[in-house]
Amino acid sequence: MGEGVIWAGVLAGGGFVAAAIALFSVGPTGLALSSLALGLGLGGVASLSAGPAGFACLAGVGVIAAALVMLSGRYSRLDLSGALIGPALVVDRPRVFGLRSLRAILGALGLFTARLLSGHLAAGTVVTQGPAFACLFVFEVGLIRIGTGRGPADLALGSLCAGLAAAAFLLLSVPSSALAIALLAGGVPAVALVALARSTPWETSV
Amino acid sequence: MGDVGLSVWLAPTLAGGLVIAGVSGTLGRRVRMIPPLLLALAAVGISVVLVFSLTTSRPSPVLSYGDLGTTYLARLPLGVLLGGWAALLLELGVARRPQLGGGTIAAAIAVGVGCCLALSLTGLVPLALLLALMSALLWLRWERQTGPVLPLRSLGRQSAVVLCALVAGVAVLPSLRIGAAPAALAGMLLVGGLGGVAGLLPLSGWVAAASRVPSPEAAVWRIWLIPVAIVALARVMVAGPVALAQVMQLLLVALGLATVIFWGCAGLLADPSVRYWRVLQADVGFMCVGIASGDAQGLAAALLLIVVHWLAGAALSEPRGARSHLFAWVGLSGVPPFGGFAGRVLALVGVSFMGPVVVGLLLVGFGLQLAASGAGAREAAMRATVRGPRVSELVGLAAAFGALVAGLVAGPVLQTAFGLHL
Repeated sequence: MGEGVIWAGVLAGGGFVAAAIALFSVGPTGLALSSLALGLGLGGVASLSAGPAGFACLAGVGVIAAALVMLSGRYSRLDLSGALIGPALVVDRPRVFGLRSLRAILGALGLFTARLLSGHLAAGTVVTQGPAFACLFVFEVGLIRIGTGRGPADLALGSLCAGLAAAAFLLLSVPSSALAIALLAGGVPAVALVALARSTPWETSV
Repeated sequence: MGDVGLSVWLAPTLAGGLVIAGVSGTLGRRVRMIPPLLLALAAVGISVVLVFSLTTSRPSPVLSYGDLGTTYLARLPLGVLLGGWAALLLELGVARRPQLGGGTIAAAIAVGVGCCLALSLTGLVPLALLLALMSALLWLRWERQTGPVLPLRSLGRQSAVVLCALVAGVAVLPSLRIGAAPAALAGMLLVGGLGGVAGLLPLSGWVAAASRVPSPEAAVWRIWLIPVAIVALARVMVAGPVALAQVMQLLLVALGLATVIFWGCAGLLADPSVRYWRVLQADVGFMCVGIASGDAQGLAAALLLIVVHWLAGAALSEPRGARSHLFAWVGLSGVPPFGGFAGRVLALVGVSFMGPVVVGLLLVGFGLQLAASGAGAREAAMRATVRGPRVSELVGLAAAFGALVAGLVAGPVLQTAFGLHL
């Protein structure tokens, strides 16, 4: 096994760690942590093909979004949720499974699906399927966050997962592609995350 | 058309900032009318730039997967954009004045500008992001209008799923080019994303949400997002790889038929106040089946139905105009030779090569639309003594008359508006 393949496996592992954090995180601090982990993890995956510039692009999006989410607690002007959505009506919705249990079950199914699909997906010059596997799993985590989301912040985090995963996969597939496109795909959901991170959840159930 | 450049990006960015300020109410009461005015100026400026930069001699460039692309507007999307602006004017002409706040007009114009960009860019990622942003903008706007009720939350999820599906679908496409052929995955994601914008099943959350907001607000989705999603679907099918087009064709026919039957039944059983949105959604199914056929008649069917709904939808938005409602329902009904009939028959002809099952199911949908529109016409006839304000009734009657006549002059309409020769 070549050194490059081992290195790709390690970086793909970073993507999986980021996905796990994004899957289970709760609250504004959890969202900031997820954003940071997603930026660093998927930046690492993208760097396999796009080099340091690819890493800097995605990690920059994640780090800046995480910093702004943390700062929005101190500076209320960064929190646009009230202005964008208005007051939220919170309801208590009983669930058969707890939210984290549900996400864990769906995450396990997503892991299986991503493994199946990644075998058929080639990402540019990267030989191993590991990075594509990680990107697909992060994308599925995004869909899970949206499907089980309790409020606008969850929708924004799900979009960020999908945007960064798509950007990382695009950088793997087309290394010569403009970094601007990756920045756009990750940056737009990141702006939504910063704006909505402290919005009131629709449900009180955890 | 070459790269129009900075103005195309700068104007909507400025407009976007202003509309957020206007919608969020952070501006003072007097200043609040400024964003719509500036937006209107930006929209007109962009339209002028695009129209004057148009050259019809160059072939349409290939869609770009890995970069921002350039701006290029062919005859057909230009027709859709100009038609959309005209439909918006009609909608404003028939709306009741108290329903038309500055925010409503600002949101309509902002979505229109976003759709202009989406159709004129050759880069698939900006196109995907713009469409998803426009649907998210409308969700936020509607949520502010009505409060957080269940249909609006579903629409929020739908907008987020659309964004995810579109950006992921576009990211997978370069894999197709290098021959690994995950066409099924890319096809599912793209049809899910663009179909989600148009409201194909199972992502039809906007229909229930539209029933909760005032008519001029809901009309923005009908006027802009549905036509732009249909045109984008047709464009991806034509410009994308063959394997992708085959998968998309299969999915569009299946989901389109399901949408026709489901929303046809829902339209038949619906309350009169929300029936039109169900009938429109069933017709979106017809449009998608037409697009999936891949030939000129299917495309013509989709475009004709878009025109008919621009006109009939405006007439049905008139608050109290029973006469225009009656004519609009007849135009939509599927009775020959009016607009609804011509559009649906062209879709049937377009997909006839797919066999008797597809044609049979479309005929069932045709019948359901006929019955739902008949019920709408009967309700309108029972209120025939009610009259609306004079000007808005005249505008509504003109729009309804247009929906009737569109079927009689389908060829000239399609040729003039979209440059499509049947």
